[in-house]
Amino acid sequence: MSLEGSAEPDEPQTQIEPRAQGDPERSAAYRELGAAVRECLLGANRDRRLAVTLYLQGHSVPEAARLLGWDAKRTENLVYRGLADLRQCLMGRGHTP
Amino acid sequence: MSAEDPKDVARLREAFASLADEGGGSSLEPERLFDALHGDVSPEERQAVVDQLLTDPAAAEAWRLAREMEPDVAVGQAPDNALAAASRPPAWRWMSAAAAAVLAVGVGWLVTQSRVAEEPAYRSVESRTIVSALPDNAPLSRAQPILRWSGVEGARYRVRVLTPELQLLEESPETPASEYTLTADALTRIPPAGRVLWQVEARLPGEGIITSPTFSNPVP
Repeated sequence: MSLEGSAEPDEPQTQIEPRAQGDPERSAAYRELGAAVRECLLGANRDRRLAVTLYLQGHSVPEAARLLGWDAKRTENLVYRGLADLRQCLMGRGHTP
Repeated sequence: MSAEDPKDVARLREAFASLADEGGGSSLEPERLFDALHGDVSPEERQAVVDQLLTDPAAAEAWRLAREMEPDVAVGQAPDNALAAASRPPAWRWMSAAAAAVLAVGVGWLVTQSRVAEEPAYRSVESRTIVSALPDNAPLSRAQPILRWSGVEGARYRVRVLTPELQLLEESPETPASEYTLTADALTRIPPAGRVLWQVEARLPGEGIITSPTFSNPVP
């Protein structure tokens, strides 16, 4: 996963509250964060990317492990490290995960 | 990990799901998606499909919908996938068909609104969530098909009734009543032992719209 940040360290970061239906600004902010999540994951190590993708799809670690054909411990580790990379990548792009 | 998800995961999941709002169709064949979700293909093939979810928001949305509709038959819940596939209840087919239609036509109102209904957008969610007042899996009478749901104070409702393939059968006029009787010929397009999907939209003065989850009832 690419961890290079494009934002300055002191640049204000985007903080998003749960979006409300009919609130275009918040919806747009979520889509922007979603696009950043996608870009970060596309630059990630494949196994971490797969594990985190399923996790973000709502699967538990055991479910993700069975789907991907990996053991649960390895999958948990990949999700954990993948999320850590994702947070760092997002912060580098000016987003607060 | 799911029992102690980090606090930011819900927001990340919501943000990821919001990519479906970009619209558009999917290049992923429905059968391939469902075979992967159900574990009917090799781990390598499943991995390839999962990897495509990242760049295919419609496929990701269909995956979430299919999983939401039939969580017990997803590979994550089935230790013996061959057995699970063999004993799969007939209901999975229409559920899969609904999600497959999403893949075919892009992300439509059904899944979009279904997800919106789960969002923490309202101060008092418990009193503002629409639930079906029909018993689980209760068959609709062909002679007098009545849909009922929990009311939301001050709301006016519209109901959409669809086939499992997401063909619109009927859309009600706006009504203050928390029930709706389908017109006499509405179910003629549903074959015996078929099923309908229905969804309620509640308009609240000054507060916007609440959309129910998608309900399903068999039609004998």
